[in-house]
Amino acid sequence: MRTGVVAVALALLVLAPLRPARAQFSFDARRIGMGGVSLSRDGNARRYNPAYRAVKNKNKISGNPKFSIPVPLGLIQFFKDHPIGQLRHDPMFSPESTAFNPVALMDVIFNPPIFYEVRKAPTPINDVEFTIGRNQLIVDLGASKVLVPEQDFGLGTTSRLLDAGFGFAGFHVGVMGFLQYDVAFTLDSTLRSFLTSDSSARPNTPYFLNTDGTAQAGFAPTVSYAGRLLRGAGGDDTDDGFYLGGALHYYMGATYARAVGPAGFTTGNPVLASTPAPLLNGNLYTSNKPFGHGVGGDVGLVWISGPFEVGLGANDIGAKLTWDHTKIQRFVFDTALNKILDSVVVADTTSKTTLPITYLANAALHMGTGTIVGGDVVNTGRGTIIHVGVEQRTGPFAVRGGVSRDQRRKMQFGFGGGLKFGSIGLDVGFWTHSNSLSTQRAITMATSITIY
Amino acid sequence: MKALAAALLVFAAACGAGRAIFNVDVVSFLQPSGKDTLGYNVPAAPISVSADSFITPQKISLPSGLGKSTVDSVTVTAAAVAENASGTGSATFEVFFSRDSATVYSPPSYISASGTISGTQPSTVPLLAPSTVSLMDSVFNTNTLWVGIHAKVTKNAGPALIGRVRVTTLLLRIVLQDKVF
Repeated sequence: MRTGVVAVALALLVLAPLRPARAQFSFDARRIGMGGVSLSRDGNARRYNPAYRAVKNKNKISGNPKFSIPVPLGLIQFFKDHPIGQLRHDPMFSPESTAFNPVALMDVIFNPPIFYEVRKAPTPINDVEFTIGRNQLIVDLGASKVLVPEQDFGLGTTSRLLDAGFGFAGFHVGVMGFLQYDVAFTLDSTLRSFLTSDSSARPNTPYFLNTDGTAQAGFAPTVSYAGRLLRGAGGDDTDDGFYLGGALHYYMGATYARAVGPAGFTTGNPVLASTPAPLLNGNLYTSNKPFGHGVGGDVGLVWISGPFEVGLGANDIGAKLTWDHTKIQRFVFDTALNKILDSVVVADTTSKTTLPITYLANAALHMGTGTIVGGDVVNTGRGTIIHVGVEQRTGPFAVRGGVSRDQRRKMQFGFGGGLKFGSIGLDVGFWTHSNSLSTQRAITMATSITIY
Repeated sequence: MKALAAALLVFAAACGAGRAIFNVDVVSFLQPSGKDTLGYNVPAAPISVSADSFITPQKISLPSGLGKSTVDSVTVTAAAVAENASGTGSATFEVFFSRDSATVYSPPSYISASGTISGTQPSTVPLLAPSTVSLMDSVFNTNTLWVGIHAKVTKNAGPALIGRVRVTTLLLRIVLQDKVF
């Protein structure tokens, strides 16, 4: 029972705060030191901006980093604190232990200990008080109230699992695989008030979460074009110019499912005099057959003029899939029979799903004095993240700094430096983050070796 | 109750290594059936006479995980009044707890208090138990608790002693060290 309920608690904790799974945004200490800005034309740029297919990859240019190797100081500390041979009995991973703390475990998941945590976010360990009367039930979560989400919460992202094909003269024909999911929960106001305002549970009152989750996957034959439409003043020997890219996808969905409805419980009257009735009343949409279909596209542009570069790309514009064979089932908890009943509402109908528009806007300025300033705005399907950073190189030394606004709309800060010896560099970056289950920021120190 | 407790205690688990504290207002369970009061009526007699009164044990449902938990400590806070209509003497009330109804009134009591009824009547006499009694007892390591109230009055020689003992406060504070599942 304990393990099961703790598992539920962990699941809630995973989903409760609005935190992306991409907490550790990079293994590159340089990027971390600049607040998360990527100044290279890496796969991320090409993923979101089809125009970058026509732009040379800077990594192939002499003097620019080829790749980074993380130095995982955090793992050394972690396995010192949690020896591998004793993990089965480690309180962190053993729900049976009285010292087991789900919040601490979730903090590790949200914030993998790859790098050294200079300042750890405090783990809530406060007492929780229940006031129980015949017709009264009050919960005081204490400092743990911060774990109760204020708005809708959940997880979601759009991934492109593969992008294979061939091209010529700027054109590219291929197949793209896609996976999109979004699970959103909203605490009903009565439940939220109950958990946060120390008010008593009321008799005959439903307390529930509204749930809306969708997952879909498939592949999309794609035709795309990327090319330099205008050449800049630097001529053909430079990257100067205006680049345009676009892709047209014919989405062929393999499968999808969507669940919508409330889940919770209804109190008895008096509150504690009877067993609360589970509350479940939702619809489940599933595709009977594959090949949901639809059309959408990507567009992107890049402008490079000497030291200045700016790009803007958006994906899955107008991507609405039609699923011709959808089964709709209804799931209801029957209090009389004390079990969940399911029934088919519609055996075969048509439904539509949408792929969210994702985008990346980026800019960089190489100032010629060893200074590079850059920034980007990225949305992977659930919230916008902003990064702005700067790097100053003087001889073998580099100093970096940056700020970002994460998906929780909290400002984060990065700073760091590096030393370059020939083709090898050693970099360190410090980064504040709020990936832990705490309102206070933690500070991570990232270390990596860069190969030039 | 199990479902509600489980749903709520998910959040207790989320509180980390902290404790789960249950403040139980026992009187609220007694009041609807009138078990918070015990009437007495001891006829007039030329000698001192005692009488006892008991409530039918009252069941209190607690979160299901309590039965598996490690109880750190239990404290009881109790108070009562003797609302006397006539006569003089003394009144005592005792509180009993048990895991089953059949053994509720097995001695000793967990908390007791007494007072003297004297002077002009009617009057209200406070029966003040020690402000807080700390208990370490496996009785509370359960999700079903039975409570019993015993009132004993002793009439002085003379007129009848008529009135009631009313429990005004009976609070349980059960502290668990996170083992509620």
